Amino acid sequence: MSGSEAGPPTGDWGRLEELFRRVVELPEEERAGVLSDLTRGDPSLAAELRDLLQAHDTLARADATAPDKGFLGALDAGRAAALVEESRSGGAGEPDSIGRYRLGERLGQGGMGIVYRAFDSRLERDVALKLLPRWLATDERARKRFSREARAASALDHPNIATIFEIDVADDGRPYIAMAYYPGRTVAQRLEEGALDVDEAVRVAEGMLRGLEAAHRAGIVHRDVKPANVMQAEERGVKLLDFGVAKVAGSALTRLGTAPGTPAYMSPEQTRGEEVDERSDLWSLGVVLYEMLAGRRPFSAQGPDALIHQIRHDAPTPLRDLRPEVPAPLASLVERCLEKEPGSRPSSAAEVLAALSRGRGGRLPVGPEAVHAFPPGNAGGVYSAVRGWGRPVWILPGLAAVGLSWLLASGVADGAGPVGPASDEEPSIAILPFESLDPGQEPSTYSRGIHDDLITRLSSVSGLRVTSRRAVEGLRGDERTMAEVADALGVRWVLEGSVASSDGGLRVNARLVDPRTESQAWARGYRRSLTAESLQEVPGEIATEVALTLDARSPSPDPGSAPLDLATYRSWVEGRANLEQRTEAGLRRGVEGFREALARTSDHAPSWAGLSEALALLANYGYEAPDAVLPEAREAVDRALALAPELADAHASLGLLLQLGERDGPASLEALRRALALEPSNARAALWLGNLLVSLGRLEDARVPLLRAMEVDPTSPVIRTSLARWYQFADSQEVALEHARLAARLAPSSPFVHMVVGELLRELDRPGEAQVVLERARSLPGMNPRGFPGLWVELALAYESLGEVERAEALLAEIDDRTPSSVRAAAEASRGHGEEALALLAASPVVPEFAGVFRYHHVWEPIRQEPAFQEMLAQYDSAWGIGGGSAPPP
Amino acid sequence: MTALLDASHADPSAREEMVEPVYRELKRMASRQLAREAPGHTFQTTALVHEAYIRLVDATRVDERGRAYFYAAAAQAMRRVLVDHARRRGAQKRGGGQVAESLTPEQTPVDAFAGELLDLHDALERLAERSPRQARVVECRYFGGMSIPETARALEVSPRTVKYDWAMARAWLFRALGGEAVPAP
Repeated sequence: MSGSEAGPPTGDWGRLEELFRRVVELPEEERAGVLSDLTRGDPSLAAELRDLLQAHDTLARADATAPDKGFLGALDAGRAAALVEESRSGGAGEPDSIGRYRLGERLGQGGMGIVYRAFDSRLERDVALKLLPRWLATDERARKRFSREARAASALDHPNIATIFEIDVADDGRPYIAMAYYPGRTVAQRLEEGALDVDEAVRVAEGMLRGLEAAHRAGIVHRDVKPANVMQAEERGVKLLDFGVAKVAGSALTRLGTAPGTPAYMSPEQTRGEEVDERSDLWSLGVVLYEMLAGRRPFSAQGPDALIHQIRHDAPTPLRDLRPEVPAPLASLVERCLEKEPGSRPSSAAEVLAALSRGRGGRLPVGPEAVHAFPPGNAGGVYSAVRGWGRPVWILPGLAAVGLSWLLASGVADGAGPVGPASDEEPSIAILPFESLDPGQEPSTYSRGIHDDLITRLSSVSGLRVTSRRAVEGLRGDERTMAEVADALGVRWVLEGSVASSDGGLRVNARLVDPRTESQAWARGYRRSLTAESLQEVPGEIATEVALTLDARSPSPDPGSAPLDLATYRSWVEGRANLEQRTEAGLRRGVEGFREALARTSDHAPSWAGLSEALALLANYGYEAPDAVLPEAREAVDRALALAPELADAHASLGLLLQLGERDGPASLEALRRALALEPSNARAALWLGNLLVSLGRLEDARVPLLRAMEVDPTSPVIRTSLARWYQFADSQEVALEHARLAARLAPSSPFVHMVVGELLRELDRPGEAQVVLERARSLPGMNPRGFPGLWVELALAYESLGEVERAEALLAEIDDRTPSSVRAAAEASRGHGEEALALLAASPVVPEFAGVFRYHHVWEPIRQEPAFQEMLAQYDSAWGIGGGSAPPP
Repeated sequence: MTALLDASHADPSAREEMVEPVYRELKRMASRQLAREAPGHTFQTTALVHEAYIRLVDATRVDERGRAYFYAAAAQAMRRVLVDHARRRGAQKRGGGQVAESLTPEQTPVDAFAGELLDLHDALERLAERSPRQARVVECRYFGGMSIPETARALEVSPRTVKYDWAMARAWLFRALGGEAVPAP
């Protein structure tokens, strides 16, 4: 450099410079003429000048939109500083610790920093610590922006998004991110071995989409979706890494006119430096999915310019040319994600996810948002898999993995039945009843209370499915293998433990077991004095540690905690235990237990909620007249909510009350949804919500809550029957039949369940089998046509289908005038006597519980379009507080 | 040092000699500042240059043009500081036509920056062969953070010349570094 002198330009350059000056400021239209005049006879000069002018114009346009950010706009002080410092320290000299984190092995290094395995010395756990370059936080403004974006990203709480514990700037000015440490490897590492199986690729994409969907809903665009940012965590499913980091870094990344980060996964709009939205993430997802399926990237030109050109202009090689076994709908879905125009891509992650799930079948969509994507005729579940992408192998895990062994072992099943899809993405846990080591009763009040409490607390953890109290009743790990228990309940983890009390002391041992290996993932013993506080503290601590171990999320704090004495605690626990039984005596004892607890501690919100629920259930099961118990139930639930507005059980109970008493559909919906938001594993709230939605005419919306209820409580006959009804109404009779049969095995003495089985068999044109099932039900003790006329009607219809008209007539003759006219109407309708049916219906009182049956049951098909029938449906709408010209509830 | 500046009035080539002490000072300051300053303190090249100026020069005795000379020398020194660090880091040049080179997974943005610097440095050398003045303009503007009037004073040319030089040098470097020019819409 020394010796170069600022002298006048020389030779050709002088000429070029002169011409450049003369032309550069001319208006566009004059330029060409002047240019050709001036360079006549010198085409190479003309060409060079044209190139220079074009480059100049490109830069000038960029300057106009972002002054100082363009090419050579300003030296990037942050990166300059980092360069000087890092090269001074040799580049590799990292500290032993950052804050309270002791750095361990290097896990990887990416564009955005170096990732270490580290140990959090305060919380005593392993984390993955990503050290980010200093330039992300070089000055106060950058630091503020960093913290703001980081907070937004770390607020994302989703099983498919890597949990961020902390984002901060260390004392030495270096920003870092502490994340949950997941053993496993990134998709980038996986891709080094070549393409993935189609179903594995789809599974990874589904996990990514769930994460993206949650992030997009929170208004956060990832901006850097690529294989290196997707973790396939061992046993924890897919985790998206580095949310928000791209945005934090974004503004610091435009130097010398360039953006770091490989452009291979960038959307066309991103390569142009435009503002991006979630559809840019969907593009990148499309690139990743393409690469997983094809084993190579869709855009892979050498050199960034050629690559960017390809991204903006070229269509990738059709996937099926590279991998013929990729199902056509899947290939076209990927192609839609790779549309150059954001407006031509799917509009949301939920849409892509729904399309994937439709093709894959048998899987539960993520949330209520996803359900609208399922048309009723293709109502998901095992059935849709059969009609899906023609890969029967996909349905095998759903059918084979779950349920059978326990059901066989417990003697309630003699064949296959559909149990929920064993979710391999969503963490799930069964908490077995804690063993009491005290002499005497088993379980003891304390072991039962701690068990109950743990279920409630862990049920509030979003993203964790907790098997209901009912489903684990009486189960114990030492009676069956853990794997069998886990298999039967469709869960990934099992928690078990023991409780002992003696001499005023309390000892609790708990361990979290991985049933696949029967190994212990976490275990701890607690020794406390025997007080009501410690009886509640210990499950709180266990729940927190289990949640952290499983998914690093903390359960919400006990919403109803109030100072308790030991006697109140005992009464409350007894109340809960009795409530679970659902028998008349059990419910009445439950009422007593809660009243006792409240007599001692009148501000104990969980007891008020329990009292309300027990009273409501007495009415629901017909053991008490609604008028006799519902007002007190309402008072109780109001007390509970006043004391603890976040108590899920109280909202669930309120939702039930609003259905039983006021019939306020919209308000009940809101209460039940609130309950589920607070406690996603509350099976009762999910069941009541699902059934209410059916009553309100929102069949599609009911699917997700009903499936959720079944997953949480796979052995509940009530939930199974509701689900069978749902599938029946959605025209999936085969799936419905499997659920109904399972319900019948779980509750062999319930005539209602057998009747549903019989209906389904008949609808499937199997009247012979229907007849056998219904006759067996008719022979149950205490059955008579007055108490259960529906069964007589159903049986008559079966005989009629079999051509045994006389037997049919004889059965119908047993039904007399005192039979509810709606039942007689059903009989007339199904036999083609539409007018008679309508006349009977006109005389029937409105029974709001029947709304779903009237809306969807096939028996009404012949007359459903009649004006009189439609008018009746409108009466049901207004009975539920909807319709009447007003918009349906959201 | 002041004497040096005075001499630079008479003999512009004396600026070259100014670069050494400014370079040493900038290097020292850059290292020290990064090692010990409180987090969040801005590492600004211009701030460093100003500080170096105050340390090395008796500011009260220097006129505006002298200061411009100093800044131009500092810009050159800054370029050398950064290029030295980039070399020490073992950064890989991309070679021509690769300005938007993607990062490989092993590459940090700092690596990328170092590579970009070395590319720019080479391109500037090539530009200097064609037009030393334009290369100096880029040095002052980019590495020294100097305004067009400051640069004009330091290089003893008119602001208008600096403006055209800057526009053309940028366009030339953009192409030399492989930038993609887009036709006007």
